[in-house]
Amino acid sequence: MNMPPPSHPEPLFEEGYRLRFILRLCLAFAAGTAALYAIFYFLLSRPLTGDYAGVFHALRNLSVFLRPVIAISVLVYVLLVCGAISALCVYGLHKVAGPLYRMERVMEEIREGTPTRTVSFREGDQIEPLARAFNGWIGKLRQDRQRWLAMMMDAERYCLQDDATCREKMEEAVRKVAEDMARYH
Amino acid sequence: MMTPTAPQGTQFRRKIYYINPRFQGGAALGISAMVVAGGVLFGALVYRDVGNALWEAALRGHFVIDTPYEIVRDALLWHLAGLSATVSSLTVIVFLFLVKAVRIGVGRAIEAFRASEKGDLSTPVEAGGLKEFRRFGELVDLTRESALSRVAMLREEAASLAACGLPAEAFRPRWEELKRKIREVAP
Repeated sequence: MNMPPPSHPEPLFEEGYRLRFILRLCLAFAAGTAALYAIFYFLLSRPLTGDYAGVFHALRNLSVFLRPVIAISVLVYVLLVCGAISALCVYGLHKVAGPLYRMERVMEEIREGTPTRTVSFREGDQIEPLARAFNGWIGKLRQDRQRWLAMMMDAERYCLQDDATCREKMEEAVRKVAEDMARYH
Repeated sequence: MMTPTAPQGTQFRRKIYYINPRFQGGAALGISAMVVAGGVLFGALVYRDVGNALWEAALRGHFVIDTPYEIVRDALLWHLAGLSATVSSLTVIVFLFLVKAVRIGVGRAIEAFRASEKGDLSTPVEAGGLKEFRRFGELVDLTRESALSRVAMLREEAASLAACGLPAEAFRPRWEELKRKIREVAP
C-alpha cells in the first residue's frame, strides 16, 4: 500500500525565511559582480598616453595580458561568491538541518527505549509541522499505553473480591489489551 | 516569535550551528558549481569581445581614447549584467528546487507520522528527492518498525496470557511482567 501524497496545509517554511535567503543570495552575487567590475575598472582605467604607436603598443600589450587578467579576476569572483554562498548555506540552511538532526536524535532514543521528551525546535527553525506530527504520534502511543495499563489495573481491583472473579477480569483485560493493540499494523 | 513546539516561557538561544555535509554541503556545492560555470562562460565571452574591442581600437589608435576602459565599457557591463542575472536566476531556481525537495521529503515523513497515529506503522515513508531525506525517511521507518515490533510482541504476550490457563502463581508474574513491558512503550 502506498502512502497518500503529502497534503499538509501547514507551511514547512516561513515566507520570510525563503525571501531572506533569496535576498542574501542575490546580495552575494551583486557583491561578487561589483568586485569583478572594480578589478576590471582598476586594470583598464590607466590612461593611454603618447602618439599612435604608443597607444597601439599599449593596447596590443593589454590584449596579450588579457587572458591571465580575466582568469585571475574570474577566480577572485568565484572564490568570493562561493565563500559567501557556503557561509549562507551553512548559516541559513541549518534551520532545516538542525531540526532534522534533533529529530534523528529523538527517534534514536525512542528506538533504544530511552525516556524521551516531546520534540521542540528552536526559535526560527523551519519544518515545524514535522515535530508536531511526530509529537502527535508519540502522544497517541503514550495515551494508548496509559489506557492499556488502566485496563489492567482496573482488573486488579477485582482481586479484592474472590480469586475466580479476579482471574476472569484479568484474562478479560489482557484480551481487550491484545485487541486494542491489534489496531497497530 | 516563539515556536509553537517550544515549551512556554523557554527561550532557546541559538548557539550551535549544526552542519550537515550532505544537506548544506550539497546545496553549497550545487550553487557553487553554477557560479563556476557562470564565471568560466563570462571569462570566455569577455576574452573574446574585449579582446576584439581592444584590437579594433588598436587599429584606430589615432582617435582620442583616454583609457582602455572606455573601449571595453559597453561589452564589459553587458557581460557583467548577464553574469549576475544568469547566475542569480539559476541559483534562485536551485534554491526553489531545494525547498521543493525538502517539502517532498519532510512531507512524506509527516504523512508517515500521521498514519502512525492512526495505527499504520508498516507503510514505508518512501521519501524521494534528496539522498538526505531518503535517509531520514529510512530512520523514520526504522523507528516505526521498532514501535510496531514492540507492540506486536506485547500483543502476542497479552493474547497468550489471556488464553494460557496457567495456575495463579504462574499467571501473576507474567501479568506483572506484561505491565512492566507496557510501561516501556514510548517511555
